[in-house]
Amino acid sequence: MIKNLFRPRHLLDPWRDNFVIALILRNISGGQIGDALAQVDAHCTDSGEEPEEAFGDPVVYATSVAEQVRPVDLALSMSPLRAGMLALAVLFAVPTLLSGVSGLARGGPAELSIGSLVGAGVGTAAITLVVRFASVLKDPRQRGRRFGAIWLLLGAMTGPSIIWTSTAVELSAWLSVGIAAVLLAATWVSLRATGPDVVVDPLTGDSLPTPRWIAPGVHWLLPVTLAVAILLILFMPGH
Amino acid sequence: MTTPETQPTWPGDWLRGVLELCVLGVLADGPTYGYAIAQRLAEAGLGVVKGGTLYPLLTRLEGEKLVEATWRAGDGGPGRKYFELTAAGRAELARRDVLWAEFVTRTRRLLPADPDVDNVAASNPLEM
Repeated sequence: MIKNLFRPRHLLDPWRDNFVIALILRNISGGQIGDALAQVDAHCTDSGEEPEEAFGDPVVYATSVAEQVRPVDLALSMSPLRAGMLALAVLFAVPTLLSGVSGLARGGPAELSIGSLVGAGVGTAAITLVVRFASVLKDPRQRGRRFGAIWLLLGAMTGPSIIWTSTAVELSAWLSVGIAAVLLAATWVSLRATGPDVVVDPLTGDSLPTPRWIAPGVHWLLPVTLAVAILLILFMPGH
Repeated sequence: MTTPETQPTWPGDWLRGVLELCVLGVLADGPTYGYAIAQRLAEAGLGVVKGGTLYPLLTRLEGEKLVEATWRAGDGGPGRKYFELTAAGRAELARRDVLWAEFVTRTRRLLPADPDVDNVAASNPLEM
């Protein structure tokens, strides 16, 4: 509470919002962002200056700060096993959910195609490999391999569904939706528990307010995409 | 101490070149925080060093292990990040101190040794 008395500016204003966003976009860790932000606050409190006056344009200053600290490599910070588990959950849950919704719309069972199951398996293997070799792909000299990895990922996830459309498994539509909901909820909770990196006060270790669109943007990307897909299935002609 | 009336406007390149050495010199007196360093530099007549210039420099020195930093809770005010010279920082300051003195000596030799210059500088040193 005392901290809040002395730091009312931590309710981020436009300058600080832009500064934090610029640092996040440069992959600077939450701890380092909190440190830089606290220095801005301390300096402005001591000098009586506004941030714009003391530090200039927030994006230019963020660039100066980012040049002096080591950025976080998000791909390198996740283990291949965890990336594989999360990928498997999502890649299996998405076609299961969509086939369940489709089944409910038709009044029939959920039909999982051979291709969607193969795609989930191959896509999981591909994502695990990409994370495993992230340090190699990160090398600027490996631009060709990086593009190759992206196409491998996309192809692995979508190709089998296009090639093998015949039904492999039939499930109750509600069971299918239920299984998918559990898997997606578990994935969402897991991702939410570990990230994204939060901006941390260097003195107290407390998390600081993050620009409002950042965290929701990361957490709600998949749910919103799925909701749109479900609406399309429900309201597409033929259902 | 240089008063605002006698404060010259140093060419930006000069300040950029010597600022790191000056900051190391200020820190040789003991641990202190960013705004206090800026004040010391201003009092020494180097002009106002903006936070946007000073803090990235301090972060670079920290990254090079020439200084170490710790956050201390403020006594009735904001928390402050204190910077302190490391052993490597002291050694680097001593090395650059010698180099800088030699650099000034050599630079001075290249400049005109016209006694009038000294006279003009003595009469109105800051408007040359």
